[in-house]
Amino acid sequence: MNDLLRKQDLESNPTPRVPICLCLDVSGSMGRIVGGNVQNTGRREYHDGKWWNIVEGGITALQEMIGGVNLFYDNLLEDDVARYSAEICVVTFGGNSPELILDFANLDRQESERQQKISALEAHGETPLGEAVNMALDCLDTRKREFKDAGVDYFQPWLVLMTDGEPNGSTAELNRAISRTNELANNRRLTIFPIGIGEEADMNCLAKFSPKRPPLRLKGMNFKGFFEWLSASVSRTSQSMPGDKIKLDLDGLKGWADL
Amino acid sequence: MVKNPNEIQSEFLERCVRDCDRIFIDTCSFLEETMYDFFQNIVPILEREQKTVIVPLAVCQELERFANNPAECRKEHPDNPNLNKLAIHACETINVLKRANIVQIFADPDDKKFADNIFLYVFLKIRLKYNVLFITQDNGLAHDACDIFKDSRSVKGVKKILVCKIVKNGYLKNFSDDKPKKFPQPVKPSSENIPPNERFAFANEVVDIEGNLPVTKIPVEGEYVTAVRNGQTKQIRLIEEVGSGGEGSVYKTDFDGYVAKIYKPEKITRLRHEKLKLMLSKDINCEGVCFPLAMIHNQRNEFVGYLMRAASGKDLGKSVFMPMLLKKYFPKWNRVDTVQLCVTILKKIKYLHDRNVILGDINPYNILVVSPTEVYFVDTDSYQVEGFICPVGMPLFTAPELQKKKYGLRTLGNENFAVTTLLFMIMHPGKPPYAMQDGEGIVENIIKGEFSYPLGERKTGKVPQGPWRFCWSHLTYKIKEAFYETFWRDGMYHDEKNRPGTGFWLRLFEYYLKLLKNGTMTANDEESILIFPTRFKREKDKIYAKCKLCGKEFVEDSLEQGICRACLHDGEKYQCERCGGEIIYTNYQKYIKRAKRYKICRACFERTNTIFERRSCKDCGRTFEITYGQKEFFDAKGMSLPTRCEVCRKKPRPSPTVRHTPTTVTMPPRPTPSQPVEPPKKNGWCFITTAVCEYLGKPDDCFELTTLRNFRDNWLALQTGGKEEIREYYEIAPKIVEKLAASDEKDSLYEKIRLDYIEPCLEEILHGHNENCRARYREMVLMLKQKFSID
Repeated sequence: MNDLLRKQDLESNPTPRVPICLCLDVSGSMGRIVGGNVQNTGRREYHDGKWWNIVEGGITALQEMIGGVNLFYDNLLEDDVARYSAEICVVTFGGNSPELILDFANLDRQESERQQKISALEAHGETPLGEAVNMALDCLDTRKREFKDAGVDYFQPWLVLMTDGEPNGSTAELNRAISRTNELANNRRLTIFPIGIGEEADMNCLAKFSPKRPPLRLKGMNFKGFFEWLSASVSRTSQSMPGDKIKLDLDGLKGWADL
Repeated sequence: MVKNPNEIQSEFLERCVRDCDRIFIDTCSFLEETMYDFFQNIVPILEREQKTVIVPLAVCQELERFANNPAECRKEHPDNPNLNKLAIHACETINVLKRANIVQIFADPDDKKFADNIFLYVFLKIRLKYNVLFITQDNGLAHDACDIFKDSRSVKGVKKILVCKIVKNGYLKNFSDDKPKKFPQPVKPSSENIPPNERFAFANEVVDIEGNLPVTKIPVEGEYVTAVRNGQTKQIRLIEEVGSGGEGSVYKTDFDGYVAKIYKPEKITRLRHEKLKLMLSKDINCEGVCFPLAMIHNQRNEFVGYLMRAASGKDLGKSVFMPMLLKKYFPKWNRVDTVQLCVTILKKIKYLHDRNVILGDINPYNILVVSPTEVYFVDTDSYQVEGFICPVGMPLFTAPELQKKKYGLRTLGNENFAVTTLLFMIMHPGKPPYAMQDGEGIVENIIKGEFSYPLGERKTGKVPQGPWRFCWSHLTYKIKEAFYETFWRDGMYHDEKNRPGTGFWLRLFEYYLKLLKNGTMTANDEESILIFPTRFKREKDKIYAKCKLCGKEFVEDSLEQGICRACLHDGEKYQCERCGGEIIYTNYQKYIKRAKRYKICRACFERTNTIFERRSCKDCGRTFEITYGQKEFFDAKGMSLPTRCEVCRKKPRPSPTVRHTPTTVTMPPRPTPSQPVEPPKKNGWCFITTAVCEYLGKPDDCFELTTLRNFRDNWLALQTGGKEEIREYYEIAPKIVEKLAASDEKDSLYEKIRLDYIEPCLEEILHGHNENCRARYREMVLMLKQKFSID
């Protein structure tokens, strides 16, 4: 994006920002069918640590997730305050390495890129979760630095970590990511939401990322419910002021997660 | 007869000198930009009055230290790039004035190390003997000096001291003019004039009543409820819910213009009921303040809520405080409107304060705006009356003394902080006063009183980036001063008890509104009417011009050939031919120096000029250097690196001959190498450049010097006549430098040498036009020779 516009957006908007990083699993297993009509092709393939039956048709877990993320954006754009307060960055993990899909920016400014890139996500490859979390934390750090340099107020960032399996990237990277999120969360410099998708998500591993709140398992494929709740929380936060204690409406969680 | 300001100042200066017995000057005043003007003004008076100025030796030593150590100046005072220059000038001035018997230097063997202490120490000794004029720029020192000259119980008959600072045009200003007496005392609310039936009492204790009231049915849409006040009742119908929150819901009613707030069952407490009873016992009636007007009971006569006037509009948080929404909802607003909005809001808050109602939780979401003159205050049931507190608040609007504490009884002083914050955020739409660059976070900044906006000379340089500094600049001085003194930790109004109230602010903002409406503000600067001005406010006695490139307005003197500094540094971006990195072809190069683009970036250029290897020449035995640039050149051509020096390489190589005769003849001894080139003196040819770089405060290994030395040793020395030229400069340059240093025009000369010669020379070298560089340098030496009549 144009540097000048980016700088202008940063400086001329006085609204305290809520930086949110979505760290999303797009490994091969996210391509599994979770609904819709399917036809077996009879082929079998090995991906992401397992054997899979190849089918035609149906709706994949990733497609459900994409729907949820787009809903999240749409809800925020409809809210007058959240629209100028929330800033989202999207990091995915699949293939062999994490990828920065969208960097932090004003939501309006991100809109056309978001429409192209989120829907074009594809499930493939491994689950380098540690690497992705580190990349996400780096992005958050950079953005925080930019806020400070410009004299822009911000809330402590949120990190949403979604996975349907267990990490199979570098162990060192995974441990580094875990210790970084723990330190940040314990010092109240990060709010982390680890979310397990489906029955095979490694909830023990997710728990290690979050010293204060246990990870949540998404009930069925209710991404919509989660992102509805998340956008409502962002809206509420954006109407408070930095320094206010943020009370997350955890009542809302019961509908969509197995606590 | 009206006197012009200069006459008044000149008379004041004369009086200062006449009325004192001894005059002292502090280091920091010597380092003022206007010090020169000051002496121009004071010397004739001193001569007439036959008085001298006393300078402690410690001050001279401090100035000397700054004058002789440019590096130290930069390190200790990075904020003052001119320090070294000013110190040199100050030392020179002292020398001249000492010779003229205008300055006397004093020292005792027991003088302490620091100049500041010296003054206080001397003043203590002489305070019974002499009236003193003390000139300093240092607030703290001024204050301490005044204290010494106060009568105390033990010491009587102390003489007078007048402490002044040097101001803009080289005159003096009395420090005590800056003192509190200039500040109008914050206005206390005028509750005495309010009839008792409108006025709440003061309370010292928090009312604490526990327990809920029984309620069997919470009324909903369509149902009837009863409004009750002073024994009168009225049946009204809840038509539809218009809003809901944590405490309950607000309903439109069939009583036109009035709405009912119905609490959730768990919020129907005895405390709330008692508070509302108290609120209803007084006649609070202010347009736009949606104060409780009657209790609401359900059909079983149980308390469930209260009746109030209907509000409308957009809350400040979702309109004025967001520039994009401000533009959307109030597209035609300008500064007249935001100032009018402040006046409207202040009048309502003043109405409440006069009646001892404290709003408590002032925040942008409970003030609704229809227009600059139509505003609604909602959530009034949380206001603090007597011992019923307002239990909530936003940290951003919370005074430093209440931060990180549980809210109890608030004072007017506490509340005035919130009011000031609100006003600031209307005038800088949405930007909190304590947002700053590199801040620790708003709450920490509030607690520490870290306010970053400037007032006159007082500034921190940490104002948030973006348009905010311009919003600030265009306010009236009085308003800036009041904000500054309230928010800055050492400000006159910073403490709870001193914070100005709504009456004070109302006067400032009403006056501001008048100036905006009658055109006084725009007569000085047409941007003063904008909510978001695009530049700083024009100063009255300066001439402004527009930058040729960006069209923005600047003080004329700051433009170079009509181009502003930002544009000079900016320019066209392109890639380095060598590393692909970004190079900027600055507008300075393009329009001022009219230079061509560099092909490679500075880093690459430096790299190509660093020495890769030193070798001895196979033929003549002299050491020669191969730079990275040369290495690349040979590598690219697939050639091995040369084994002979550049001079020998240019000589024709003897063609190999086959000797037919046996080599029985004794060979003559190998000739010793011809006289080697005089080893380059470090400062020889570059003497002048060195002087210029020193003057500019550049290190000895700066880019300019390294490049020119490299040029001298690796190119010029190898050219025909090169050595001679170097030798000639070596003899003449020291003379030039000496004259240069003593010259009256040295500032402009150094600048001229830099811009007209050294920079162009570097440029020529960068482009590989070594001959041009040589010519340009020769021209410079010639110019300086003629200038100083050196043969």
